[in-house]
Amino acid sequence: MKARKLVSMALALIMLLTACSALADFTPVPVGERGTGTREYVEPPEGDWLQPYSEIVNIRTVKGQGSDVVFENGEDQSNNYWIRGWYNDLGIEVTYDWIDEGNTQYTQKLNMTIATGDLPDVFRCNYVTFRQLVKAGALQDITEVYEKYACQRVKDYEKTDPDTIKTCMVDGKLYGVPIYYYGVIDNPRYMWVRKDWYEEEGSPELKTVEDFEKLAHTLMEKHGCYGISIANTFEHLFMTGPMFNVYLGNPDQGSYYWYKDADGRIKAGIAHPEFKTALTYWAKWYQDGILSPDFVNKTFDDMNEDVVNGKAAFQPYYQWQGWQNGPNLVAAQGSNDAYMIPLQFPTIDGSQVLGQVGFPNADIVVVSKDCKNPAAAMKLINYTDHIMFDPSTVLTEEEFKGFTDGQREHIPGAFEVIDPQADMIQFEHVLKAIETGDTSELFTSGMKKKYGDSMMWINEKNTGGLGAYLQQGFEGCAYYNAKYLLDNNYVKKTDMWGPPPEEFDETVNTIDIITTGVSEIIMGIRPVDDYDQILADWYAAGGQIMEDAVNKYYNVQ
Amino acid sequence: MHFRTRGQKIFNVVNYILVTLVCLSCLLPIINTLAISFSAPSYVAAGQVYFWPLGFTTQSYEFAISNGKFFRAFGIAIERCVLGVSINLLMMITTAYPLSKSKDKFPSRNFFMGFYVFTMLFGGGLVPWYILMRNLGLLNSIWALVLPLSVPVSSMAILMNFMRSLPQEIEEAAAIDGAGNFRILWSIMLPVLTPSLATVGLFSFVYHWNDWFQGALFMNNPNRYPLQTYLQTLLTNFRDLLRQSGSDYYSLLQRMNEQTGRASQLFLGLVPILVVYPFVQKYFTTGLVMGSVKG
Amino acid sequence: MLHRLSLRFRKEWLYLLMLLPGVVLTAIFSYGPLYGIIMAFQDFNPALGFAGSKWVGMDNFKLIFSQPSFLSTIYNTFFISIFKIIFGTLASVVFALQLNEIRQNGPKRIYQTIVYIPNFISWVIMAGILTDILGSNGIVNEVIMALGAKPVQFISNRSVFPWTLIFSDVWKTFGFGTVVYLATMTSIDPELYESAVIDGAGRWRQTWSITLPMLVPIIILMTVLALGNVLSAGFDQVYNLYSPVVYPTGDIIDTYVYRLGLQNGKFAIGTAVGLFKSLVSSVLISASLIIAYKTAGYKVF
Repeated sequence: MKARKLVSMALALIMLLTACSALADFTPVPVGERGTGTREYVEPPEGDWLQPYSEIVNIRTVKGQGSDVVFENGEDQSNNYWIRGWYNDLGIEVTYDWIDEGNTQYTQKLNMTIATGDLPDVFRCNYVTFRQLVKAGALQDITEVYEKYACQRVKDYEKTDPDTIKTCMVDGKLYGVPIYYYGVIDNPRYMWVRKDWYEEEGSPELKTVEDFEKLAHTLMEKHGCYGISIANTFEHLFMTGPMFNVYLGNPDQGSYYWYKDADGRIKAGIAHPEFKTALTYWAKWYQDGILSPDFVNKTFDDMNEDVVNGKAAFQPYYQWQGWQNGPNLVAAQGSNDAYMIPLQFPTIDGSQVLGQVGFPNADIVVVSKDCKNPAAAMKLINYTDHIMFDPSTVLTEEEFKGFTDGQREHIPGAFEVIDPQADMIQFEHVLKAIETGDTSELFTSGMKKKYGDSMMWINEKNTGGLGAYLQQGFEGCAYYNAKYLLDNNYVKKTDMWGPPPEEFDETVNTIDIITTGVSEIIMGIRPVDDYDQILADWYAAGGQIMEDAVNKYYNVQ
Repeated sequence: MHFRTRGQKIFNVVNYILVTLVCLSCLLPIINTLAISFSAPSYVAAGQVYFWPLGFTTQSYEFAISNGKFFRAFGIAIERCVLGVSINLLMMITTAYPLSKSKDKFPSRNFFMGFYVFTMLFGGGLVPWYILMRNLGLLNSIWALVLPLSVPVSSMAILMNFMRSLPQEIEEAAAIDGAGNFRILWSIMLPVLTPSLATVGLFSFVYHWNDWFQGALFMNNPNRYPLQTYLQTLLTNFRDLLRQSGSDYYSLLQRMNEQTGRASQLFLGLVPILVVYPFVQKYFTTGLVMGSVKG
Repeated sequence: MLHRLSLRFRKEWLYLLMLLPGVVLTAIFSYGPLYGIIMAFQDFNPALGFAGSKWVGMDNFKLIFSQPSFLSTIYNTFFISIFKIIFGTLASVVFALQLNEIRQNGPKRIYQTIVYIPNFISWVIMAGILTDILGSNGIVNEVIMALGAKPVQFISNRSVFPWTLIFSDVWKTFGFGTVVYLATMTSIDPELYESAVIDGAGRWRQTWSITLPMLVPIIILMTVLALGNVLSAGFDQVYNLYSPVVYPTGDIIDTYVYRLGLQNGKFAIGTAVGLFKSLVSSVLISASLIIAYKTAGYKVF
């Protein structure tokens, strides 16, 4: 009886819901709705770029966006400061074919959209997709449009690193504008150390690896901890490579750092002769207890758990360590001095360590072949710079908040280019404001926020500001160290200065050979000398293909 | 009916103890997760939380529920489940019944069985699937989430085997009484099949409730994400957010972190299942076969 | 001939009518996209589509199978899957039998709900809990050491790791099987038990000669269904628990392929591996169907 009732109910519900959802599907959905602007060619206005088209132009795009963008006062994706700004100031109506909230499926969805053959006018893609699109002739040559309609400030982005825009050219024609990101200042990694413990020992300068080991053992004895907290992916242990003059990249992402050897051939960092020195030390550290005896069991969370619990004195990490572990460390240890500060890596011979810098660009803004108004794409890009980075732009406090608060600075999506000098300039202004107390020169949202957060920690010991403070709030902070390295050119750039060559696709998971072998060597299961064989296996499994390809494209004699 | 010997009594006691221990081992992780979801992140990051929340806070839940998106996503998930489970059940019944017949009664049976088994093994992948959805105009529609797997073959096969295992007399008796196929299915088979329908219905519900990937793939507008897709978007890029400059997130991090966020996400997603499950379960524990033949 | 067909149709038409909606939907949504398989033989470029992408024959397969570690990955996948099926079935059946012995409906329901719950805890969370429990200082190793034995590296020892995967998965998922087997048991004719009691059969005898034989078909069915997934040994679980040191025994096909970076548009290789998995599953399923029919005289599908 019951099952019959259930089925009848199911039938009734289906009918009801069919009716309902048929209605629901026709309620206006702002995203994906085709706009009212024209999609035919409209002559761009002469003169200054910041002028509206004579007729409203429609531009279709797609975007992936963090789920943290907050809209206020009844605004939404189709009605906000950016949308209105584009519409009123530029005469451009932007509509989204889709938005991937959470930004997890962007590449996937983009690829499928491309496969349907119906491309958005302007969108953002990575180098793999970029190459495929160029090969298929799906992109527009924007050489002239860029020349004519990109504003001078955006063109000046090129100066920071002239090579970046070249990666968007094929046969001398420009097919896209690089995002540029925040520049190389956020690239170098540091040896973070517990501030309270370090100062207790009189803040000794760590010049050599020996200095470091001595301090590590002192702290280990005194505080019953081990030395360096790392995860079993080697992402963090590999950051200590520069201590031994090898630069390694992140094995977890299958990415390598490349260097030129004495014969002028570009090779992967893991093929550097000194890598065996690093292995010798790492194996020793494992024996000595500087590395946790349990490190192969440690996930990313476990690694940070040990830091927070005071089970480790050091952590090799990025410049944002203060956000990752700062507040938790202070809370768990119950002391306002219990956090980590960044130190430059010591080196084996006491020489100056170099900051490792990877190629900073990953995504490109491209224009579809079928887009009738490519100039509009340039204007939209200019507009992002205009609002976000141009110091001469005057915005009211209200406008300022409207554009940038609540992560709304990420609304532009495809048009979101970033001044590669932004973080450097920001840091200089923030540190100066903190030291002088004069806040008049904080002109971007980022500056104001980082300054405010840093002061929150300095004045109120509110740990919410610790991340910003450790990144740029005092002499000795992460960016202070980065600036020192960059200003003095103590920098090791990867010699693959651009995206990985296409030939990398012909290799499969070759990094496994290294990571598995390295873990065995560190744990003492195999001797260090076995590494020659491991490396030979790596070459045979695809390393050779990569090395040849990198030399083919990046070894300009 | 049950006369008890001493051996049986001992067996019963031992059995109870064993079952209880197993259940306990299944329960502890969920309690641990519950405790984490209500704890302050500093205790969680320090790995101190076991079975009781430390630094009690509901921040992780507020984070997920705070805006209207949660309830909208919840509504869409309910809509999807009702539609999806109803369609699945109907399709499974109307598919399993003919296929439960022998080849004598339904000569084309093996062909159709093969037709379904094949789909269990081979698929065309995401790209053509997406293109199909687009061409059918189903992108951004709830139908993209409920139509594609309308006949879940595994569950259908389970149901079909249940039908086969029913005593033949039931149907034969009805057939002699002059009942047609639809009548037999409707008034004889369905009542008998309640426990197995409840089983496959539950599986179908759990599938539709938990799947987040199709939502992320086929919904163009985040306002149309079902609950699990929405919850997924909240956390997948939590760590990446840290890397970005200038974020309002940092003050939030004092009150919740990735682990507490995930834990609360689990419970927000689990509640409806825990509500539905005991309701469905009622049907599992009642054997009905003989009742219907006699009655 | 025509007459025979029409006769057959007259006999079948009601059944065909019933099947129609399901068949139509399946044809559209499952058979419609099947042409995507050709991607396995292409250097697929989304911008060129299926028609325009370059045909590369078996190159994608060659690339994958020429990797020395891929073969061990296949072996690992089989090993882990097969033992998950064996122990998983065993655990589900035994537990269902145990529950069936509990005559009070209240506790029975509660227990049944509880064992089903771990199914819902994602492996991300479960892995965190497991590494805590099974680590060097975890509670399990404390017990082991208290008993005077050496601690076991459940997560990082190559020979132990596959078993950690197998048993943690069995523990997490056996509730699913229990539900199915219990539903089967409740539909067993109570008269069978009554007459067995009259014949003087105890509970063990009843279980052995009534309950279990009634379960055999559904056990076979569940096993065959599981064989269809034998080359997917549980991506989420492995991905959240493994590390480079256990790749040689713990890496499975899906994690291996994931590390290729499918997100980066390497659709073709993913499709090639998927096709390989489908073919192997088909062979296994066919074999198991034949075995089930020849040995037990039981038709699964």
